[in-house]
Amino acid sequence: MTDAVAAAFHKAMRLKDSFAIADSMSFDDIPGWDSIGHMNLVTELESRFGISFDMDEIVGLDSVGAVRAVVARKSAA
Amino acid sequence: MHMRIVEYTDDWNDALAAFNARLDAGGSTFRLPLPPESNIAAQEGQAGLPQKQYLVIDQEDCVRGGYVLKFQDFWIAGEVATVADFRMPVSEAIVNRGYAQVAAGLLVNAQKRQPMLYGLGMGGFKEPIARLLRAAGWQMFSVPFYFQVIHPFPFFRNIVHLRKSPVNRFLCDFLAYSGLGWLSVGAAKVLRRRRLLKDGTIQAEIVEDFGPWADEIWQAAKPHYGFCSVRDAATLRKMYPRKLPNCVRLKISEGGRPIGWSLMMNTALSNHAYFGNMRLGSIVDCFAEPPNAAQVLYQSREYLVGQGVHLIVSNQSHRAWRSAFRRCGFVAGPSNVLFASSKALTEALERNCVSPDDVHVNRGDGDGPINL
Repeated sequence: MTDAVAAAFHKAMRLKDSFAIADSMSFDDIPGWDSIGHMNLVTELESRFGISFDMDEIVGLDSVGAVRAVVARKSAA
Repeated sequence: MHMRIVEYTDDWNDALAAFNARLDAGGSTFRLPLPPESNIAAQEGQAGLPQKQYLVIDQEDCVRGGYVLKFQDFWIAGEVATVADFRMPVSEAIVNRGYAQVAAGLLVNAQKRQPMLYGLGMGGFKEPIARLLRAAGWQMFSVPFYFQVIHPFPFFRNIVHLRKSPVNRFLCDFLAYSGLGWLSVGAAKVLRRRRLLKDGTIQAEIVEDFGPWADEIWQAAKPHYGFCSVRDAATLRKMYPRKLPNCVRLKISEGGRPIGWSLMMNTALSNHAYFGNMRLGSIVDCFAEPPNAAQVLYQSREYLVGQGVHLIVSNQSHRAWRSAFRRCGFVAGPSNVLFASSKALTEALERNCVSPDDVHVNRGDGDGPINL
């Protein structure tokens, strides 16, 4: 799952393969993580993991670690 | 970060004003208007189409974004369904990247509240709102823009888009003052318009409001459209309240039988971003059975020309109206008006084999006749 979350970030933000994703990263640390990048990320996560988010979850996705935690919880449910 | 969505009430006025003040201080021209500012009918003290405004509220009860849904019945290939216009989505991310997640949150919230959504306008495919909707899986196409120059002198002296460089300004002035502008825009116009024969059985009449005759037109014409907002008399009266300034309703009949209508605007502009100080005629909305579209446009054009407009503009998506505009001598120009449909609406259109050519939207839809 770790790789899948990182891959979702790479695809959503159109990151170079060499860009390393870390759990502590937030909006300012990842190029392209703006409003549109966030929408791309939500769409990518929903498609990749077969889950859907509500608004409160979406606004809570404010770091890579937070994304990983929410995806893990929803995938396990 | 936790946030919630609330429906706007007066209790949120101060928080909403503070939100708009932060956007303003951050250099943004966007703002989330206080009702009734967001509703053209309510501004005139009339009941327009129903709409609701939603606010994104954080743990400190600060507004961090919001949007408006305007609900309207739409004809979708033989059935009527409620569709909402997703209007004025704004988030604090415009001035503070720390709220980058708000826009996606409010869009997802809107889609869960009303899956059948559309957006109109947006300013072009590269604008943030269009890119956001695209990222959410919405489909979109541009709504063609048509124009016809009636008086070349004021047109070439005022058309901002063509006068951006000193060389272009010189050329425009040359066309304006030499009279060559008349030749350049007049020839094609006259040639095309002649194909539309004046018909003595046609009557065009300015009316104060939409009456039962509009219902007759709606019933006769709707089967010819794949997707359009319901345009019966009751709905039209909500879309275009009687007090709406500068609006003219033209009823066109043939042998006494109503065959179509248009809603036009005649506006003396002042330092307009595109049209400078021109007198602008707009064919905002129109409806008829497709074979009558050209006659409706012809009569509408004649009326606006008689009012002394310098330029006539319109945005139209349906193939019948696009064809009619060309037939009446209008020329297609670059359009920054997009029509976007949510996944659910796109699926409904595809399920009914409705292509973009079958969709009838114009400047009467979406925000309605504003900025004209």
